Amino acid sequence: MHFKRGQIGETATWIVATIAILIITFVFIYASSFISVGKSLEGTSFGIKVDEGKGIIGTQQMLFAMLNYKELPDASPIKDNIISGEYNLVTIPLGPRLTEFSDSGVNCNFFILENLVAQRNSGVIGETKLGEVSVSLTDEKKARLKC
Amino acid sequence: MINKIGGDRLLAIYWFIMFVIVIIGLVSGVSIFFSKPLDIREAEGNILADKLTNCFINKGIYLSSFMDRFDSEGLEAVCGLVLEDKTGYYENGNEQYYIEFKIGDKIASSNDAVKSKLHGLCEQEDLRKNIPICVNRNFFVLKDDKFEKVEILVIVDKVKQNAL
Repeated sequence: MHFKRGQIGETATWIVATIAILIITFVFIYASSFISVGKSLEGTSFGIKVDEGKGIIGTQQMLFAMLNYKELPDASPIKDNIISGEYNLVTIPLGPRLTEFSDSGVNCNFFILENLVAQRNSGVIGETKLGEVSVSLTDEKKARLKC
Repeated sequence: MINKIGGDRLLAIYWFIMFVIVIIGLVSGVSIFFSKPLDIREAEGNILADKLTNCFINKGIYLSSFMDRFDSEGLEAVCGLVLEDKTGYYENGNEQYYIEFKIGDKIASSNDAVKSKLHGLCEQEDLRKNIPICVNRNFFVLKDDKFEKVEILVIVDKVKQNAL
């Protein structure tokens, strides 16, 4: 009787192990078929309309457009005024423009980053994040557009 | 001793069966995953939208000369694009793409006949399969020293390759 108990216990262990292996295998197969349905490079499901907004290239072109913008026909482009120090984040005249873009469904924020070396050393300025584009105007100044 | 040998043989057969089951499971799972098509149309659409942006705009300034050339040469020639699908899935390979660049009242597009066929399908978000991927871009650039809105639309059809 004592021997039989041992045999029953061992057999039960193997049966449970077999069932566990079969369950794991079926879960793996089911998960494979489930995940494969939405296979896409960009992580979207099939057929969903994509509205990209601006894309990195579009945001980059918009930043360049802002920097090349002249308030008056004979005036210097904004980038020259930023480099010379005439404009800073407070005085730059892009506020109304950004509001106008916002009304057209294009929501962006324009930044001028100054004292880059000091700010980088203190950790205030990080790397450019997704949806942002930056261009260095001088060693100490950078323009950034966040959309 | 004889009984023990029998037990070991039984265990060996059991292990072999388990091994076969696990292998079948692994092979089935991997083949199920990799046999489904990989939808790269969104990436394709984004690349086309980027190409179109860089074709008509340089450093934030709209290049009107390219639009003038579009009237005589067509969009593909102006921007150096090849909008023909050569996979053999489709009779008309050049009907799998539609691209449109709009600035102000000027529009440059690849094939208007394709637009009427595909654009309506882009709006059917609830259909969720067998419809084209549509990429829209809206941003501002400088045209004659004034900000002008640019709208780009790229549609990639190719549903036969990506149908579920």
